[in-house]
Amino acid sequence: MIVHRYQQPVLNYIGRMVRERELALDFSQEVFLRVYASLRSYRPQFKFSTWLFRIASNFMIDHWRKKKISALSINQSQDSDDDFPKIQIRDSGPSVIRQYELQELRVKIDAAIDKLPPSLRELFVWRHVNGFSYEEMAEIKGLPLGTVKNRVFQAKEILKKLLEERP
Amino acid sequence: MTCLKVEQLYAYLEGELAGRDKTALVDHLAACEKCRDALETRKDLLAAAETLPPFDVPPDFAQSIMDRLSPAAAKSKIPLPGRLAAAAVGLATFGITISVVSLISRRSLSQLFLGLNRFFWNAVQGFATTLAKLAKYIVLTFKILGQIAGAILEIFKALTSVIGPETQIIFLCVTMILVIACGYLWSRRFAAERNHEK
Repeated sequence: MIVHRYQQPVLNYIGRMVRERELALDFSQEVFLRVYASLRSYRPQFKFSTWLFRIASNFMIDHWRKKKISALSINQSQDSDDDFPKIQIRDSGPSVIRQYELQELRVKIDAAIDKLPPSLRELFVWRHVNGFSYEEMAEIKGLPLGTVKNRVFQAKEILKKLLEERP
Repeated sequence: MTCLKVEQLYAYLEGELAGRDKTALVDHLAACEKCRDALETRKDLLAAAETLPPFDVPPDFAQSIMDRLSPAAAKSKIPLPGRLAAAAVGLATFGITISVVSLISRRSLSQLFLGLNRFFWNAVQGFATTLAKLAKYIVLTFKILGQIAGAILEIFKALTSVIGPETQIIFLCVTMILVIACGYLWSRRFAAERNHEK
């Protein structure tokens, strides 16, 4: 059954996007209702999870639009260049991140994810929480592979920067 | 010695490096503490993200979606004790109402039931009469429609005796083309409206 199979990844994605459990449950339900309502438009040549997460992603875009978050921050990359920014490792001393215990780091990263722009947050969650491949993410979003990799890279480096800022 | 680029570290951590690139990176890491530290930092960050606790899915999550998909099915899923309780309340209400009416009208229960029986019998008689009248009108309508169809058939017979067979074929072909074209246009319009609704 569709819901049983995809409820956990959908809830993990939406939950990390909105951070409120009840709202995440409501939104996940709405996503599955949309999925059932559009089942006729599903084409078997595409992976089902790709199609389902495209619906979920569009749902989230509608949500951000209603919340008046600019479409640019949802759909567009801040850096439209497909190449990596080529950041060279600098000698900045031992990282604060390495001083945290894993559990402590989880709490901090959970809060830091919320500070990412929606377009980067979504891809970071798909890649490193849901475990999607870059290729699948590119297909879901209809973006070039390089752009997707670049955005995930940006997300990780922003997160690192946020975690290194002492509270 | 040039230090590594951050994207190379992520590519290594995510298993995207192979062959010579991977060997060169591993060799560099063995010799460079700064890059090793940078790698470990990113490794910790990804490990934390990848082991974030999943959101708890309530046990009735899937059922609540199914209920919203078919509200009628949900309504029928009232548990048996609930249905029995509802039936008992209904019977009790009926008994109390009858007793109260009997007390107010100062009639015995048997008189009340006789009265009710008469009322229902009259209602059934009235309903049967209306149904019979309705059936009569339907038969009449079909008779009229049959006569109209007969008249149209006569007109066609008269026309086919006047028009030659070639003209008849042309007329039939044109009519068929028109019907098919109308059907096609209507189906396209219907499909466009459905897409628009989606």
